[in-house]
Amino acid sequence: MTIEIMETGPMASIQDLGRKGFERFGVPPSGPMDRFSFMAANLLVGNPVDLAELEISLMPLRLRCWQDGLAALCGRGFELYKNGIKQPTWTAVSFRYGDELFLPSVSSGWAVLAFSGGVIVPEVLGSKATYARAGIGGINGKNLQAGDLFVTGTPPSDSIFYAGASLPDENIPEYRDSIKIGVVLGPHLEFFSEESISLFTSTTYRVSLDSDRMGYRLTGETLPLLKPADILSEGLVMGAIQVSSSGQPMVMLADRPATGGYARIGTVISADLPLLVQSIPGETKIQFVPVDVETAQKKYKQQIKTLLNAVTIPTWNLLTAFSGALD
Amino acid sequence: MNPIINTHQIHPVGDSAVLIQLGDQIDLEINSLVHALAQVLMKNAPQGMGEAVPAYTTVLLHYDPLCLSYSMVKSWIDDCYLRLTKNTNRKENLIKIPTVYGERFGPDLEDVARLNNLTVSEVIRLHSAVEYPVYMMGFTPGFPYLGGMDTRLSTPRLETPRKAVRAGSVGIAGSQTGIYSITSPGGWRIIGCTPLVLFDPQRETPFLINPGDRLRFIPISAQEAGL
Repeated sequence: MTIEIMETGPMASIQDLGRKGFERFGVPPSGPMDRFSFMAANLLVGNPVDLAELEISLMPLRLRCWQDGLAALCGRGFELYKNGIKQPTWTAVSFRYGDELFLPSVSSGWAVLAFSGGVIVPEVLGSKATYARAGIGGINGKNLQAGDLFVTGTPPSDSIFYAGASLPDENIPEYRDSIKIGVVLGPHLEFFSEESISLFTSTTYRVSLDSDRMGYRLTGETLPLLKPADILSEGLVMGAIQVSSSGQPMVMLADRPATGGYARIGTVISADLPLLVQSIPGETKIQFVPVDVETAQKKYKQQIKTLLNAVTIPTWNLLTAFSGALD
Repeated sequence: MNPIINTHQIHPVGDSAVLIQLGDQIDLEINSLVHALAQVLMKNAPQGMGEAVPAYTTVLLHYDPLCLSYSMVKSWIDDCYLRLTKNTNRKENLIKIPTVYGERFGPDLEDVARLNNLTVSEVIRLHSAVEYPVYMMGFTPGFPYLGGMDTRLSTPRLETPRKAVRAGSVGIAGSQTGIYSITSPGGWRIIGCTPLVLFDPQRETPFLINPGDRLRFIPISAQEAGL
């Protein structure tokens, strides 16, 4: 009753929603890059939103399933093949003992693969999330490697009904060439002139190629600072936009350090982080739009509420269940 | 009432955290207030309130925007201030850090002495003579940011950082001293090494040091350290 990793790249890891409560000791939360896709994938296979999944980027992933179960692939770019046959994404796909799942390489984007019952590995500081820099979480503190084996948890009792469950098209994020990303400005606006802030919100940026789970450097107008960008180190959140003394902004992401020492011009709002994370380096045009906290929270609440009610279970699954009950 | 308390500012940090600023320079009194506030914020916190992360002069408070609004969080912070005024004394938890100075454990000890016109034994004496407050933790899991180093020991970072500095290494960077909590790349001048393990996720107490503690380095021999 296991799943075996046959082939993988260096950027594949086990993640859950993150390691909470140890940032004051310098431990970053980690967790998925794209939390929307992560929660969607869990919901599609009938799991609660926070069970551990596989996260992948760029390189192919090949698995052998030594068990039956359901899997759902969500995110950008990747395709899912079962025994060589293409399967739908944003959909719960059933697999049987001996099946091979294969995700060919992509040029950009992050995807997550959820299994009914969730990926089971030992918890470190209350979380299964891999933080390879400190060697904690996942399998032996490392990103996935060929030959790794893991078990999945006991699926919820109604999990069988989820085979073929999907997310309606209108709930699947649209990945456009040009995106608007909400930011709450601050907290260090005293480092930036009005002109600098206006450059930040009126010009477009692209994600640079040397970006990873720690953060995305942004290319575009540099942002002049009124004084050196160094601040006394302080706590850092996902989506924080740091500006170094060279004026180059950088968005801090899942594997950011728990604390940072550069001035921050703004923070990407929770509802828009998944879209920003899925930008294609060097291509997607990003425009940052200032929003107030209340608007940001309203948008996030709406997004989560919609997602929690969006998974559609095929009618025939329920009919089969009823006819089974009549036998 | 402590006058510093009146100077606090609350800034939103995105839609799921706030930054509480209590000052703008490294100061032990302000930092003691920071740690006291961080503790009060996490005690009996309403559902949806997350971790309070103390730093030099700030507390970053996480919260779940699905449970709490920004204004609810602000009023919780105000409540906590009222409770804070009575007792802001820094808890005096002193942790002794046995340290082997020099040789292969402190490859930069001689450079630190030479650059500051001191002898090696003066460097060791000055470095181990004082108690260092842990202003905050960060950089890597379990890494303490220490204050209070004798200014005669100030030394610039290495021009070329090392690819790997072993966990437990005691270093100097500018006017700061610190201990590498995990093996990681780094540019601090390494003057010694402690056999203590600062971060062990499998240990019942994963972190040797807590933010707000005080540290003192105790010179020992390599034999005593078992290194």
